[in-house]
Amino acid sequence: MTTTTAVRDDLAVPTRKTGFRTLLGKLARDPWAVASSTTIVVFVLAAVFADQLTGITGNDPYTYHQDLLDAKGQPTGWGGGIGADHWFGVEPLTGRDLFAIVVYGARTSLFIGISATVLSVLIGTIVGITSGYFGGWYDRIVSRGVDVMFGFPTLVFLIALMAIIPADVPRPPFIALVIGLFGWPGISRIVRGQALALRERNFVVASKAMGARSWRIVLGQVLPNVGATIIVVTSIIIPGMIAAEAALSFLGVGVTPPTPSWGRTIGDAVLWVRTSPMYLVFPGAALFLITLAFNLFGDSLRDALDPRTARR
Amino acid sequence: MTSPISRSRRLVAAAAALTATALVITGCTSGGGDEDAPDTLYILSTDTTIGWDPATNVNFPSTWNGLIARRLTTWKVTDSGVEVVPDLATDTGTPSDDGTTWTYTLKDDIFFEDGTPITSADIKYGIERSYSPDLAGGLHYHNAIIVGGSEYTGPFDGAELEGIETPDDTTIVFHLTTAYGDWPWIAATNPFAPVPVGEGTDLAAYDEDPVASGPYQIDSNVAGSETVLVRNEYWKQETDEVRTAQPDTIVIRQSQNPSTTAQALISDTGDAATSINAYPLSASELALVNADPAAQERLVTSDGGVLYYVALNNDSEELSNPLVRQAVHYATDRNAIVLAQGGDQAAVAATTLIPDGIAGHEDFDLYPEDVDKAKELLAEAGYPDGVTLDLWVANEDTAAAEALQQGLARADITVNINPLDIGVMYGDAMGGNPDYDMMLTYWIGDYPSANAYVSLMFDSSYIDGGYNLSRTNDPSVDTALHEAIAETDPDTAAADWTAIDKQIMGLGSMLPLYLTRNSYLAGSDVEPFAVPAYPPYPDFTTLSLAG
Repeated sequence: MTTTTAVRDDLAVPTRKTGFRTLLGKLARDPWAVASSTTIVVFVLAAVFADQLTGITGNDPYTYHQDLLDAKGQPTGWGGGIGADHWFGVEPLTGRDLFAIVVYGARTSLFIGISATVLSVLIGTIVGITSGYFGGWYDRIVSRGVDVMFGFPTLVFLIALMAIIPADVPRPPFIALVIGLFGWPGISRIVRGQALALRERNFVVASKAMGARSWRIVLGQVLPNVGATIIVVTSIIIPGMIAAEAALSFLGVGVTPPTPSWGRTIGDAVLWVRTSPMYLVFPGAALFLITLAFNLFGDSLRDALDPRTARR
Repeated sequence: MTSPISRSRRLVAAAAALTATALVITGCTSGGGDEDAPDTLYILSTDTTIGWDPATNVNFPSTWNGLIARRLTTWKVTDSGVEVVPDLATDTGTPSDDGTTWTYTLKDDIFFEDGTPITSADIKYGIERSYSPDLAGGLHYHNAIIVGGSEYTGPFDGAELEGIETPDDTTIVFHLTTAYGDWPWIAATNPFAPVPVGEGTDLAAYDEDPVASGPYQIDSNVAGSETVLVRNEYWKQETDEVRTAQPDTIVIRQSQNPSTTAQALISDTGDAATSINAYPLSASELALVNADPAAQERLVTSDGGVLYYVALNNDSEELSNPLVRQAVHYATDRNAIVLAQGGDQAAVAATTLIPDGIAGHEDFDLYPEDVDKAKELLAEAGYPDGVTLDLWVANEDTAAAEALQQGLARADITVNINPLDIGVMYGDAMGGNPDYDMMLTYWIGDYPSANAYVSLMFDSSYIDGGYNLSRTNDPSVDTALHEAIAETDPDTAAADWTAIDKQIMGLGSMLPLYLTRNSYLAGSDVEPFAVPAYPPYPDFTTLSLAG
């Protein structure tokens, strides 16, 4: 079973030795995978247990502590007011607890990032697998549609869209929805390439010859064989989705205040970088770490799933 | 009308930051050519467009348009405030006994930039232009007051406005529909600048390069980038008691990133030594200045400025109940809001409609902060568990909105903040889609009179299409307003306005939050100047350079 396809060799993963246990073993031997997955787990736990975590110091991301500011709204004390009660200090002008803002911001970022990714992967897989497997006029139409989506100025469109949506639409799910709806073309193209190759393979042809229905072949033969690719792609696009939400919030058209969002806090903090640098450092570091961790984990996952990149 | 505030949004800021980075990377330095232009004043503005047509420009006589356009009367800005003084006219106007006819005589030796003398017909034509439906959006205080103004649609089809008489080249007479005590101030607004008869028919071109009557004329004008003003050699200093016009050239740089501007002014090198910021520094920029003692010495801060307020929509389901409006007043945490703007250095709490420094101001607070009282009022109004209110706010003012939100939350008033582009927000609020409970925005009178603070915001005829954003529809307020406007005795008028302030605050339709204190940082070669509480902007027409 050798691969001869020319489609995205780096992501095309022939299935061999992909038992879950084998995979875990490979990942456990990869220090980057361990470090990145630990980071991801820490962030996810922080997001899930944000209430308990901030409850230790009795803070939340909404309460003003203006008694911790001087008369001009600057935090008093070292590092923007870092102390036992406020681990990351406080926000200038409002005195809100920065640790709480970062932790609750993780909730916003991960919720939007992961839901948008799930949506994108779902759409991308369905579109890719059907167009790759069925081909013909359906494929030609869908592929042109994907081309259009690729050329579409997504960020500009999102900015315009966010400016006109009504106030009563809850923002985080809406943002997840729109980012997800624009994020699938890449996945669909990779999956289509895989499906196109799999269609010609002997076991698929054999199934077809034995009279299996199309949907059965797609679900039973094709999908399991692109599964590994989909998993790798998923972990690689999550950081892009998180960054997209941060970009929208940075530009002031994302999550509305006071819901914490790293992007919005970074956007505010840029103005304070000289006078209260820690205000930028903490949310910036959080965004940097989580995107880096997902990227590294995606890489490690691909290495682990691809026999051709065996460890040397 | 609101006036010359326009802060760049974060989008613009981000774009500018990227550009700035690109410049650093490619090793470019801005400016240059200082040696050949020692007498150039640079005004750094965040505006992405500046229109110069006097019919549509809404800025004060002491800012942009005052440099190139004279008018019948103008403002003399002093350390303590502003007074109205004659400009093209020999006095600020002679009213008839009943106050409905105002007569002006023009000075001698007043010329346009091409050397033609300015006549009363040019002033009449300038005013007539402002009636054209194609030139909407300017200052239109005079529109309905001048006889025949309600039906008039501009001079471009040859029609004349019957309420303005020009018996000879130096006399102009206004016939008003009502006595109007503030008329000399109206005669200082931009539409009272002369336009040579027959000029300005190509509206776009005239907006870029109008015919100047002031000490400067437009030399070059690249929209959104740079406007260069040079001397108008036909302007005579002895005919002008206000403008000093000391710099030879004034360059107005537009689309400037506020943060970059602040840093350049703090560094005070190159062009920055003869520069000034056109719009006030924000809290974060002030923090930068505070960290630099040399820059701090050059900082100029006004005592008052723009009034930020929340309009409580009387048509909203919850806020149509006066008890709920009062609860909102009692629960507001003004200290938090002021500190969120940068503290005492950047804002002063406001509890009245008419700000300090304007005749008719009296210090009072009908609703001193009291959260328990707010809860009681809500319960009495039938909302024992609290209410939820939608708040519209411009993208750049969310800090005030959040501070308001946390204050109201103490009384179980939940605020949903909806940040909007300011143009979209006003478009919807005034254009028939006023679907908000509260709207946080700002106001500054176009001239220093209580009338300019009150009537446009509370006269019921300004609901839909006007600035009555609280949608206050109270016949007794309307009557009181019309009486106060017609009052020509200043002391009686001031007393009338104080009473109206209390009457409107009693309705609870409007929640004043704070007055900005505007801070400007001029380069070290700009002569020291002061900025009064009103107008809270530097007087561009008297700025001068050292050496």
